[in-house]
Amino acid sequence: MKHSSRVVKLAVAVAAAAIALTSLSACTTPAPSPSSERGALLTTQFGGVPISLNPALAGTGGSTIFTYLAYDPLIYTAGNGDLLPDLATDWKFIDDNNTQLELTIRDGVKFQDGTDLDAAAVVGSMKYFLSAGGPSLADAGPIASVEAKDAQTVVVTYSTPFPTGPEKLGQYNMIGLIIAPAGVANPGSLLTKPNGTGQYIYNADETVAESTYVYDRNPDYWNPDAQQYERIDVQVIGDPTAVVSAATTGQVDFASANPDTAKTAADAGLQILQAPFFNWGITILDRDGTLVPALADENVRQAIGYAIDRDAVVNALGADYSHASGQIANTGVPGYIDGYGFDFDLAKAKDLMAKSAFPNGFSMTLLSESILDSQSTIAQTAIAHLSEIGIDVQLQVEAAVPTFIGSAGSKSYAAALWPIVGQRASEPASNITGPGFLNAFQVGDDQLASLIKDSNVGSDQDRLAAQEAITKRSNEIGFFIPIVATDSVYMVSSKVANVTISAINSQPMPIGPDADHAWHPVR
Amino acid sequence: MLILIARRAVMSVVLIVVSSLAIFVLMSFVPGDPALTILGEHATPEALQRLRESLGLNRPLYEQYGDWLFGLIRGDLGTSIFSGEPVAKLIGLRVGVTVSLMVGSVVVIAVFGVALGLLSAVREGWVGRVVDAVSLLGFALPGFWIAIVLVAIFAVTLRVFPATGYVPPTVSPTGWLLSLVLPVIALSIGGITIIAKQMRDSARDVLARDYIRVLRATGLSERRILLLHVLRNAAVPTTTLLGLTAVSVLSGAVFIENVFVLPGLGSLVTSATLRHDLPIVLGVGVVFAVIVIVINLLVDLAYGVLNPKARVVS
Repeated sequence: MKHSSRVVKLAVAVAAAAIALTSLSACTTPAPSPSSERGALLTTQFGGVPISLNPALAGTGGSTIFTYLAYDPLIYTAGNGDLLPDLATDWKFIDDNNTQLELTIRDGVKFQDGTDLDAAAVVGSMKYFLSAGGPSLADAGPIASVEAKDAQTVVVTYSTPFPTGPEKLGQYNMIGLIIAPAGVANPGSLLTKPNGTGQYIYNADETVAESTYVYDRNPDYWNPDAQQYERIDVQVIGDPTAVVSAATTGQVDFASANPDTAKTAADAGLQILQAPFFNWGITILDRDGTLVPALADENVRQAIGYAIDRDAVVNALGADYSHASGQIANTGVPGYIDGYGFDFDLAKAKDLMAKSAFPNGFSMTLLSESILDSQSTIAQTAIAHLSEIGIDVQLQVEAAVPTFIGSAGSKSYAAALWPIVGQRASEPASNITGPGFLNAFQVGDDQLASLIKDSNVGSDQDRLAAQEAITKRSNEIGFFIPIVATDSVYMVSSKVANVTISAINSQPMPIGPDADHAWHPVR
Repeated sequence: MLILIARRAVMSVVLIVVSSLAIFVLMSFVPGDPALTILGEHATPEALQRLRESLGLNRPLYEQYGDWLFGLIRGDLGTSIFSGEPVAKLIGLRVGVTVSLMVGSVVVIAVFGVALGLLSAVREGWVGRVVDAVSLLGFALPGFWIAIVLVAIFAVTLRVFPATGYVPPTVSPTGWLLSLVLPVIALSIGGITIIAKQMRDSARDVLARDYIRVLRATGLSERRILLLHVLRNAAVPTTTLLGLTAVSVLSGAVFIENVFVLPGLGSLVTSATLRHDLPIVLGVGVVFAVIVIVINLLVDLAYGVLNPKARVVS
């Protein structure tokens, strides 16, 4: 699936929110002092096969691990959201409008094929990324040009102010992962022979594609202290029962969990980490009423928002790892407004329906899927009360995510249940109003678009205010009806330390630019 | 026998072409687009079109299938759309897992199914009733549920066998055996019950024949009668069923490989189907067809060994 980027901070005001958030929800396994002695093998689990091992075509989110091990990013996003030097040792906007980002490229770094890293190679890699049209292209920002100023300096120019540019050059945004010139010249080779400056070298001989991906320590890495394991294996295990079996018997050291498996894992003595991640909701696709005329009515969309019993959904999912959600921004991220949002109020929902042009109700089909929404629990619980306000909902459940995306974008469905993610309110707001399957009928909102634009300009306070205004406007127009926020939950072996996650970085990666930010074996 | 093998070889070519064509046609009806999966939902139509062209997905279906078929004749199964790996290599890495699982399961099914069936036929008292009851239970319980229970008891609680994963015999013969025990048991239980029931019915039928009474009258021991005469005659219908069970084990392996995280052909074809990686689906389809053909050939050969009349007919 496609994840939008999860990187960090908006600056001073946002940093304050981030710090508060981190103190509330960041989870870290015990972190003994890094030692020069490396662990032999770290085995991690991921739930699906990689879309591609070529960063320009690869997926993001948790599947970043397949590319990040072999490719260093320009800037590293730490578990608490801090931006730290990696291949870029320094960066700053060199104009007042935040449109020209200058990066200083680290000296003395070599790609895995032995060629030197320099500004020209960085420019070549970024330009290739922009032309490849891959799944994370939309997250890269409005890049107008990428130029090498000299051998060690790159200037990225954005067509509009883009103060969050540095965040988009991290390990979760594939444009930040730099590919060697030989790989750029022959992208097909990157599928079987990744070629970056990364800490680990993809071992094609021992890899069983779509099952176990093997990465050996890069002996020529520019910072060997950062490498805490000799080898990292990524096991593809999708079945939750198999995942928890593998984790509790020590066959994998790090694995994703769900509420059921997390309890089993905790009972077995594994460490459990959690942080907010998905914000589930009903995206109204047919906003101008092409298929279901009633959905063009703002009162109707609002009524749906008030007719969903979010606490029932939370109870159905397991209260330890989910929370009722009434707004587009996840708890604690910029744009989140404490105490604001939709809640369950059937009387208000009935009033809104009575005020609408469709007081006698209507029928609609809700598209959902059973991979992320296991057994359609969220979908079925969410629609339980809609019949009481006269809305007869049929569920269409797809068994595969690609099929769901294809169906959602086909203009055949009026609404879809799907989780959104984002580090600030403007990101999911852009997703549901921009191009893509969440806006299949291509209906936007001028006021929301203007607020999204505002969120990139002005002072830090202005930008934060714009994020909150986005949240309010989103609920007013009701294009996205939030339901429940679910946590990313992980099981970590007691043999592994220093795994850190938070709401602003809920997909932890085992490596970092230095030993302090890498997972360590417990000795 | 050579003629039989030659006939089977000719039929297998037809079967492979028909089955691969069926897979190709059916896959064309499955919703999904590899280009959209790779480039994501925000991809522009131009980028999608470029990628489809580079992957050859924009060509007419008959042309795509024709190219694949000519590649197959040359021994080239194509390349995975997503991993870029040759399909033959992907299959080569995984076929050993599925074959190990399948052969192990068929052996266990044959040995335990026949033994239980004979026991039930000979000892009709409480032993027979217990065998009947256990058979019924084994038939009713789904394989994947048995797999989960086996993992919970023997891997998670007792730590006797690994919960997931596969160890190639070249790495560790003991590890290989241990990694197969639970999956083979999970795959075999249903088959054992079927074979046991068939064997019991056939053996009872044979035991009631006149020539068995004659053999007993000649003073031949019960063990010799059972093993040399009853087993041989009762084995003919059981062999047919064992062949069918072997084929069903192949389909069951698709589920069991996912539960035990075994990197076999079943898990490969499952993910390839979901992603529309057609070269992999077709390649695995060919291998499955060949396995089914080999099973049928072995059943036919077994008939010849067990029943000389069948040799003459074939």
